Amino acid sequence: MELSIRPKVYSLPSYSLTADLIGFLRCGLQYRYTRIGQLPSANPVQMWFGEFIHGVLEEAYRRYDANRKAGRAKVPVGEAGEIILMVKKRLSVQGLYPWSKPLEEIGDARARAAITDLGPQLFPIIHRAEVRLTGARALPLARIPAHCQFRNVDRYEMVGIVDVVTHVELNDPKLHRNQLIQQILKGLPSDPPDRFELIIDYKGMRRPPAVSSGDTTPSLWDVYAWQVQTYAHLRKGHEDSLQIIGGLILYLNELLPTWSDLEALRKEVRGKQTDVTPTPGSEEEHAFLTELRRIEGRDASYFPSLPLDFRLRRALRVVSVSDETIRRSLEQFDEVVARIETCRGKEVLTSKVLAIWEKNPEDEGTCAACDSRTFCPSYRKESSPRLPSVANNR
Amino acid sequence: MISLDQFYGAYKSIRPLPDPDQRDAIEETSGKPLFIVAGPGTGKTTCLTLRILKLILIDGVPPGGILATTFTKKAAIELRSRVLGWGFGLLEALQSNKAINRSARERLARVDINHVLTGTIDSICEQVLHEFRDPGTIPAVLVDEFVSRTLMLREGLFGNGRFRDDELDRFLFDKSARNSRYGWNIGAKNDLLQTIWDRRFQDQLDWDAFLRSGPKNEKRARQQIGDIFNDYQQSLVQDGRLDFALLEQEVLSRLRAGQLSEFASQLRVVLVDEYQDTNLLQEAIYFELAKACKGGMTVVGDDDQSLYRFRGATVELFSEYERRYRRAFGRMPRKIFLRTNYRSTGIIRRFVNGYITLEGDYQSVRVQGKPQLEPPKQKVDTKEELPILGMFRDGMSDLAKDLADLIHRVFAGKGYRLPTGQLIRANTKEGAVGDCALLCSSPAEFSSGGKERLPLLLRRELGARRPPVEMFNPRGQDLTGIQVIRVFGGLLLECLDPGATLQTDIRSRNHISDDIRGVFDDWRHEAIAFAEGKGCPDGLRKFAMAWAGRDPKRKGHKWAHAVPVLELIYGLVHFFPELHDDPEGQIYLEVFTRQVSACEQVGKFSGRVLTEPTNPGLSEASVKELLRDFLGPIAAGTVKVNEDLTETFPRDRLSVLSIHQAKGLEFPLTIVDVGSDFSGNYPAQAFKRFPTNGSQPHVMEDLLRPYTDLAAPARSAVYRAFDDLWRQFFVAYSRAQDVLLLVGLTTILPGRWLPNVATGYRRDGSCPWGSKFPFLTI
Repeated sequence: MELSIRPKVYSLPSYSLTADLIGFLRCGLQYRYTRIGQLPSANPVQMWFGEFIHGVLEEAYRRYDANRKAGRAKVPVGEAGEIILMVKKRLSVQGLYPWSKPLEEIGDARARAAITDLGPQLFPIIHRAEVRLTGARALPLARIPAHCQFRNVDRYEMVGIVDVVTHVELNDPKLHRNQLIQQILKGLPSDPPDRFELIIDYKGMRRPPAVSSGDTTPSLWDVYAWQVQTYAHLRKGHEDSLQIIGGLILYLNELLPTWSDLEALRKEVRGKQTDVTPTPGSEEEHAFLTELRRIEGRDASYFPSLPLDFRLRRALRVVSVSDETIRRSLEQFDEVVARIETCRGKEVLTSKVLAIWEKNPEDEGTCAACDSRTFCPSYRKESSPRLPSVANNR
Repeated sequence: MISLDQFYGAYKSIRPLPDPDQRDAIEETSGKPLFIVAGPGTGKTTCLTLRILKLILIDGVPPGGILATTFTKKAAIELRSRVLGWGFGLLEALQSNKAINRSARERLARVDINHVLTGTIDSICEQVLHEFRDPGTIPAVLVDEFVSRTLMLREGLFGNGRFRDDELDRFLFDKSARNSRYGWNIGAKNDLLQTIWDRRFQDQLDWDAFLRSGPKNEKRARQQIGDIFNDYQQSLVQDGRLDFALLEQEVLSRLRAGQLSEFASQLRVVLVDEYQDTNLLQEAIYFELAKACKGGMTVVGDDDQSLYRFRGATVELFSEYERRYRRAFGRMPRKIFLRTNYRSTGIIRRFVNGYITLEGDYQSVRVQGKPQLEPPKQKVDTKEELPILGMFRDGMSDLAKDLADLIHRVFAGKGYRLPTGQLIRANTKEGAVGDCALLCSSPAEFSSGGKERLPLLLRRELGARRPPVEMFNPRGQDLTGIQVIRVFGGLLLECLDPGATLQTDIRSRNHISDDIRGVFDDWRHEAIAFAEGKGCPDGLRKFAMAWAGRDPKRKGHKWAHAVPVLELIYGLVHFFPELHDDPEGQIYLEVFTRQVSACEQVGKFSGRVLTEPTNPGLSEASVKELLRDFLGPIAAGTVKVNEDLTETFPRDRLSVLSIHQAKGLEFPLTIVDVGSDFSGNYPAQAFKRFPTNGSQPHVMEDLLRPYTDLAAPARSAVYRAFDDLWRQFFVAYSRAQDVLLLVGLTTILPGRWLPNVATGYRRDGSCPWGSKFPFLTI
């Protein structure tokens, strides 16, 4: 008797728009270790700030929404300190800490700025926060070499949580002076309908250089835009969605930049790598130049004084959404999924990790924070583990 | 939206049509409550998936109005995969069907199947509490088993020196169902307390009544338990944490208080798979949700496959479901039996049917009117059928040798010839040893007393053959015995606590037991030998010695005040390609990092190593905490590998699984260990073979159920222990597709001197298999 073949388990792979898509594009090998292998970072500084600022905005909105339902729409500016403490406590239970006092102080200040400066503009147009999105797509089998196809499924699931969806009624008199709406309308190419929806995604980072993708490695600038497009695609299937005309990416560090952010901005302005610069001859340019002169000798947590309008413009990025832009972004997503599946398939075949997974040694920031950098075959700057904070005092 | 014919027409293009029983279940209207009793291999997940799709596509139930839960994460992923995979396949077929009118096709285009809510009950509860929480409330953090055990021990049992209380000790020992005090220590007491804590919620105990009741000599002990639980709960809640029992209780409380009405009101139908392993708390949650659906609830399960009494499952909630549902909703659910078995050969099916009906008394606790498993009606099976096989040997070594020989011949040779002349061989196209599995009561490679068990001997035998056959037994392997873990663990110990100075200084045996100290010492020796050996990688010794020294005054250098121990781990990983370049090594590395996270949650130093020259006591305390809460549990063997990290069972290895793990799976060649450990009539093994008393889960039921709505069990503890054994081996035997092989020692052959439920003994000691074995001995 010839035995049957054990049926394969029918299990669709699930890929998220943040942890998987962006994680893999930052570095495939790091993604393998941290996402698939679930190995935590030794110094999850960025993770703390990202979780912290999201948590603060979410809780502040919940309180605003409760006030609104009670008939007195009020941004809980006076409760900022309490909200910050509450979110920190929750994160510490999960093992997430700011790791240094200066980082914590910067985080606190940015959280206050987010509630005070952004809250009054943003909260009134929020329809829902933390919206879970899912969708299934055909697995791009044609782009995965046949010998690397290790599943018997023809689809994959894409998942994500969008921070906020807004419903905007242009004729609502309460919104006439809303700076966010004004900025958004400036950023959209055509006349919007009277009622529309925007996808809003918070980023706990500064505005990245507005550099488009190279031939093989997409830029973060483009990847974040794809992400919003795919959110829009998934959101369209929800019953309570309106016509989605755009997305808004909020780079929250820009609400309160530090001197090092200012320094980075100066370099980008000189290199023409950023799309939002101080308007020549304006008050904001004057403030920008004045603060640049003061940079010398400042500590890390010094916050330059820049006009709110400029900070908001830096924080906001409007991405218009159409069927065509969504289609292109979904193709990019498929491409990344095919690359991940190929790496996974090769790993199943060879039982090896290092040589199999794509690496990205170009992004020094990612490599410097990576716990695998000393044995990564593509990173040359460090080839043996360092002792903790060894400083040469000679 | 579409007709039933259109639905099946489209389905036929992607899969075979369901059988009449399945159709009955699929086609029932959304509001009608269903009680589906599905035997093994009868396609219950198929049925559940199609019912969900039918509700959406024919009845027009919004996908977001459907909640479907199942028992394990993997089963939940499989259910979701089918709903999405088949659902989108169906939608595509329907939308290309021009016979369907345009408006219906337009409506289909707007259907988003993704919104069906699927998961385990715990994942759903966690999601609901997060998404529907009030402002100002922290979303609770769910803690794992290690964290809850540690807090129960530290805040509960050690609090006020309760672990020294003689009356508490006596009470807990009485309820432990142990034969002797051997191995009865603080860890065992803590485990029992954890069980009582869980059952307090799972069984919805009237806790105050329990504390007030009991004989006089138990009063103090019960009060102590009350205090222990109060302190434990306080320690969780004050930091915004929940364990699994509290998580579900919180959801139930909020549902009853109407605080989750926004969630409940969106539901139209609730479907629950594996209902035979549900508990009273979960039943209450499901019934609350079903109220929001006007009783529209479908449950699927099989009482004969209920295996989780030890985790609080109450099988009567399933077997008496009709009565319980009627009491809650005032009407009877429709009962449907799925009886057609698509998995096994006729011989295996008849063997399984015979086995579950062998014990007359057991029939009284099964769902009434349950039919036997039947063959598919349309299938014309021309495949040769093999008899049930039995391999019994006088000793475990011989058994391992002969079993390895059979496996090797089938999957690495030309096949294995039976005395009947029939040949068993692997599939010539894609056959691999992954088509076979060994199922055991426990896959552990060593017994609790340190004796070698069949999986270990088999691993050796298979490894020694040419070509070798590898084994996949992540749950059964003792992590502390794996070479790379021993060396890596030893290096961590020597870096953190060189020469075991602090380890020796930890006086309390309760924090680091003698067993753990012994493992630590072994690890250290192996690490030192490795570091001094020729194969030691360049730089490792220098790195490890610098860590061990941590000299803050070293000239020209400054050692950081607080360093995450993860930095040390990743620094050492650099020197171990087995841990960073091998998928299996990655799984072992994750054990270390996961335990660091647990240590961070229960400790005071957040998993950091302090180097504080002015306060050496503080530095030492940070290391002692890591020895106790990070490395100690790994050395004790209580931390297991995370099976979610393995994609699937590898095709090129022989899988060894516990029968519990095998639930829901099937294998062409299924080998069931029916008693390779039973060399003599040892009382400690009786519960696994032929019970003389109830085991701990049964004693717990007798203790606690009188304070619940279920009342005390009507059936005696020992009878329930027998029932559980019947179920366990019913599950094991019904996993087989083509060949079923029973293996064990000759002591337990039917009719021989050791009675054994797995080999056909009835409760009264008679053995119908004794006169004629229902298997061919090889």
